[in-house]
Amino acid sequence: MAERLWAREFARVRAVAWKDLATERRTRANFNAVVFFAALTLLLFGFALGADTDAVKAASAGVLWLTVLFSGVLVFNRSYQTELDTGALELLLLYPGERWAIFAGKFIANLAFVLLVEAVILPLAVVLYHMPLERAPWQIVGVMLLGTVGFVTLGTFYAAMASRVRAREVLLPLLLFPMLVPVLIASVQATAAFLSGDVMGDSRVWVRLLVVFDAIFLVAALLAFEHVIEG
Amino acid sequence: MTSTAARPSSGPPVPPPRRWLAATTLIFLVGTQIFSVVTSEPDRDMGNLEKILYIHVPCAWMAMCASLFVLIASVGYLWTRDEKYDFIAASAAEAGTLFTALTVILGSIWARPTWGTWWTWDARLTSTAVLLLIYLGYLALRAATDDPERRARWSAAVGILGAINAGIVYKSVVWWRTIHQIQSAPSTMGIMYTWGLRLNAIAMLLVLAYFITTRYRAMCLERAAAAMAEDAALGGRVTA
Amino acid sequence: MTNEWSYIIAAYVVTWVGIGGYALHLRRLTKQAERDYAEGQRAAAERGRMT
Repeated sequence: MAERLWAREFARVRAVAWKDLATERRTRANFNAVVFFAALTLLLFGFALGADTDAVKAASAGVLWLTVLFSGVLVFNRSYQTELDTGALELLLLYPGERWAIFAGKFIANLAFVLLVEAVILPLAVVLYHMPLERAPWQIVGVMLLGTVGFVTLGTFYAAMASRVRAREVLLPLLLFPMLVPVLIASVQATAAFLSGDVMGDSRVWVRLLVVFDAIFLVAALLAFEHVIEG
Repeated sequence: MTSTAARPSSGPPVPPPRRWLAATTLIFLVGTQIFSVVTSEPDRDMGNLEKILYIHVPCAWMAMCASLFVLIASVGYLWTRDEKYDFIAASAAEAGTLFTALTVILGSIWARPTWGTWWTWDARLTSTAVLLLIYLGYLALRAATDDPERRARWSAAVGILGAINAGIVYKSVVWWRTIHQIQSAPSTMGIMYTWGLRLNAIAMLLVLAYFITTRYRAMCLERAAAAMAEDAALGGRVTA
Repeated sequence: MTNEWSYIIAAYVVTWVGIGGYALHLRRLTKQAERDYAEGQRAAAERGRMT
C-alpha cells in the first residue's frame, strides 16, 4: 500500500516536471533569453573589471557565480507563470496528493533548465576569463551542481510566493539572495580553490558546507511547500 | 440567528495596556547607560570606545533573541493556525529588524575610530548585515501580501527558513574570513563579564519586551477594528 | 582623545533615535488603533440599539 502511494507521488513529480520542461522545449524562447542575458552579464563584468588580465582571472569564480545567480533568478517566477495565467494552479491543487510532489516536479524542471544554461555559460566564461578549468574539471562541475541545487531549491520555493504578489521581479531577489549568501560564498571559494590547484585542500570545507546546506534546505522546502502553494 | 459563515475573525483578544512597562523600561535604560558610561574604566586596547560596545553587543543579542521568537512563533502558527502566533512573529520581526540595523550601524561607528574605515568585512558585522537583509525580506513579503491568512502562512514559512539560515550564514562568513585571515574584531571577552554589559543587556531585553508586547497589542486592536468595520459594511451584527 | 568621544556620543545618539523613534511610532500606531477600535465598538452599539 505504501509503495503504491509512493509510486503515485513519483508519477505526479514526473508529470509536473515533464509538463514544465515540455512547455519550455516547445518554445525555447525563455531559454534563449536567459542564456543571452547570462552571456551579456559575463561580458559586462569583463568591461567593469577592466583590461588587466590578472584582475579578470582572479575574479573569474565570483563573476561566474554572480552570472548564474542573476540569470537563473529569471527562471523561477516564470515556472509558475503559466499556471497562474491559465488558472491551472487551483486545478492542480484540487487533485488529491502531496504538495511536496509539486515542489519536487518544479524543482527538477528548474534544475534541468538552470544546469542547461550553465552548460552553455561555463565554456564561455572559461574562454572570456582565462579560467584554467583543466586543472580540476570534474570537481568544478561537481561544485556547480551542488551550488545550483541549493540555488534552485530556494528559488523554486520563494518563487511560489513572489510570483503571486505585486512587485514580483523585485521581491524574489530580495527574498532569495540574502538566503543564498552561504551558497555563493561556498561555491565561489570552492571553485576558486579548484581553479588554483587546491593546494591547501581548502575546497573540502566548502564542498561539505554546500552538501549540508543543500540537504537542510531541500528537506525544509519540501516540508514547508504545502504552506505556501495553497491559495 | 446571525450567520457566522462569512464573518471575518475578530482576531486574538486584545491584551490590556501595560503602562508600567514603558516607564520602567525607559528609566532603567537611561539609568543603566549613565551608570555604565560613568563607571567603566577605559579599556587597555580600545580606550573609551569600549562604551560603544555596551550598546552594540546587547543590540546584537536582542537581534538573535528576536529571531528566536520569530522562529518559535512561526512554527506555532503553522502548527495551530492561531493568528496570535502570526502577530507575535510579526512583532518580533519588526523589533528584530530595528535591533539588527542598530547592531550594524553601531558596529560601523565603532569600526571607524578603531580601524579607520566605516566598514570591514568582519565576520560578525557582515553576517549581521545579511541577517538584516533577511529580516527586511520578511517585512517586504508581509507588506506585499494583502490577505491576512496567506500573509500569516507565508511569513511563517519564510521566517522559519530565515531563522534556520541565520546560523549557517554566520558559520560560512566566519570560515570565509578566517581562511583569508582578514583582520578580525578583537574579542569582546574582555568586557564580557562586567556589570555594565549585563545591566545594559537587561535594559535592552526590557526594550525588546516592550516593543513586542506593544506591537502585538496594536495588531490585535487593528484586527478587531477591521473586523468590526467589515461587519458594519456588511450590515451584520457584531459581538465584539 | 576627544575624537573618541564624538564617536561614542554618535553611537548613543543613533541608539536613542532608533529606539525612541520606533517607540514613538508604536505610540502613534496604538493610539490610532485604539481610536478605530473604540469607533467600531460605538458603531456596533448604535446598530444594536437601532435593531
